[in-house]
Amino acid sequence: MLWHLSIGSSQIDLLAALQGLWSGDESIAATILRDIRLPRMVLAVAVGAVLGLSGAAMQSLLRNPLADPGLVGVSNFAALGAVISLYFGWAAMAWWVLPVGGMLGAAMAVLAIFTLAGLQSNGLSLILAGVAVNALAGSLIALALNFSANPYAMSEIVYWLLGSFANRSVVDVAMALPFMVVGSAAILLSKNFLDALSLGEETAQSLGYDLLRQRAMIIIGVALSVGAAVSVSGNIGFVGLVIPHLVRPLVQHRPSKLLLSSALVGSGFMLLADILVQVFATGQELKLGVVTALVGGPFFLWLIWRLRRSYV
Amino acid sequence: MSKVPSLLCRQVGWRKSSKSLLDNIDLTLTESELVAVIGPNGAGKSSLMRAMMGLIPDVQGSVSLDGRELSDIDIKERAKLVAYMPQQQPVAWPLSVQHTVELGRLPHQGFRRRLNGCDEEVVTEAMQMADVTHLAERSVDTLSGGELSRVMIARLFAGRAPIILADEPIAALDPYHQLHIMELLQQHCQRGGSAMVVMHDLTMAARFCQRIVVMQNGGVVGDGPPAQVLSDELLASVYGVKVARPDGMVIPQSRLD
Repeated sequence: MLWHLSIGSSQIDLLAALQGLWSGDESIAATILRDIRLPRMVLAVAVGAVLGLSGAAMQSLLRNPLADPGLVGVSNFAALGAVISLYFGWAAMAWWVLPVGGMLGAAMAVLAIFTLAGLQSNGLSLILAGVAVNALAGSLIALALNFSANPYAMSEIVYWLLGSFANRSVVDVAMALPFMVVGSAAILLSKNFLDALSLGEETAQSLGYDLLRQRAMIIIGVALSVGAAVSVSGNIGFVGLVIPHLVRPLVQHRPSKLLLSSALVGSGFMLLADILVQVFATGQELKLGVVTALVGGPFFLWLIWRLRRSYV
Repeated sequence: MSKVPSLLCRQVGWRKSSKSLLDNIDLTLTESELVAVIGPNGAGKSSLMRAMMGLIPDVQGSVSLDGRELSDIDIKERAKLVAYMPQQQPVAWPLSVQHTVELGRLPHQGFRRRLNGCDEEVVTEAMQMADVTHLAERSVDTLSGGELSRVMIARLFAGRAPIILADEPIAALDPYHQLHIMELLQQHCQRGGSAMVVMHDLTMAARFCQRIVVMQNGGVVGDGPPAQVLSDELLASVYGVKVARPDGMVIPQSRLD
């Protein structure tokens, strides 16, 4: 975290800045730390955690290692919700409009996937539903871009979609963080249900879990946390796919243990990725979402390659 | 074992897209009873199990546990009273056998899921009973069908529920373990518990169960002691087979067309 704080486009003495921040003086270093670096760090930690957690929750809920908020279109739909609220200028009306737009979009996507793919642990139907949902979100975003008022607004939206933690203010963080916390709590509360669910839906019910309620809680949790995360950071893909997959063997594949550990590893991964993005920045800013996609894409291919036996 | 509540079905029916899958079923499962449910494929045996477990939301009629409607009982409390084992399904993740059996303790555990000494003892005992102790560290995706069945039976016993509903628990087992599991179910009922078991092996049903329920087309067409229920006429009309009966066995011999 300190490493992350110490990195940025201008050199500051981190120790002095922290002291300055503590004692409340208004040196440039302290201001940079407070207004630029701290929000960025908090955001990286929170978004990483939320994406890791949501990925783990969706994989356990759908009993499918290929589920990921980004891959099946949840992030894109959240982005669509946010874009729509930006596009029509609603986002300026109240601070909560943007995250709520994102969360509504995310909720729609999760519901659509449930309806299309059902709840069987069938990889193919899940991915097909995800492709459909993703394509729909993509085309609607394209539509919004197509009719955007001016090129500047358009590039604004495109850049925002690419996903980054740069230039987010304390206000942005304060806007999204509560939703991420509440959403994550909802997901974590259903950890035991997710364990029971690995034995199948009926067995889970027979072990004392209300299927509809537990499912609804996870869907709402994912929608809240991913929706809020996307509305503040844009689209950062594949984290929810890769992180739970790497963590799973370390927790003996138990869904309940996977949740928190994926969140932690997700945070760490996101911090590291955001550090790398800044270290290797050369003039033009390298967007974090681009980097995770570059890493995650090949990983996804590898995963399909490894799992392909179960689909033929 | 404390007083075992009896599970009661009154005029239970279930229709799905205008097809009647369960038709006006009256059944009681009481203390110390081991009941076999038999019948041809598609007769509604699994649906009956699911209805009795409260897994069918739009079921007609009433299923009650000691006079209380199943749907009125807190789902966690119900899980402590009735344990259910569906037909074999794969486990979603390569969990270890130990962890899988421990899931049977879920109804008794709080949010933190700390296994106390009693839980551990029950799990260990359940694993011994189902003969899966030596598999404890194996991951469930490496097991054979029969081994997985036994793991699920251990999971079932780990819940310590007085009432057991099991859908074809011995279908995937070798003869040794078929006998073994039926004996375990028998012991469970001798200790006062009750169990209703879907099965296809008529000899096993006749040998271990005091009572056999025969289903056909969603309805119950026979219910009573094996000697009375497994008559040539009933088996002919339900299964369309002629049976041989050497030494108290009931062996399908030829098809009647």
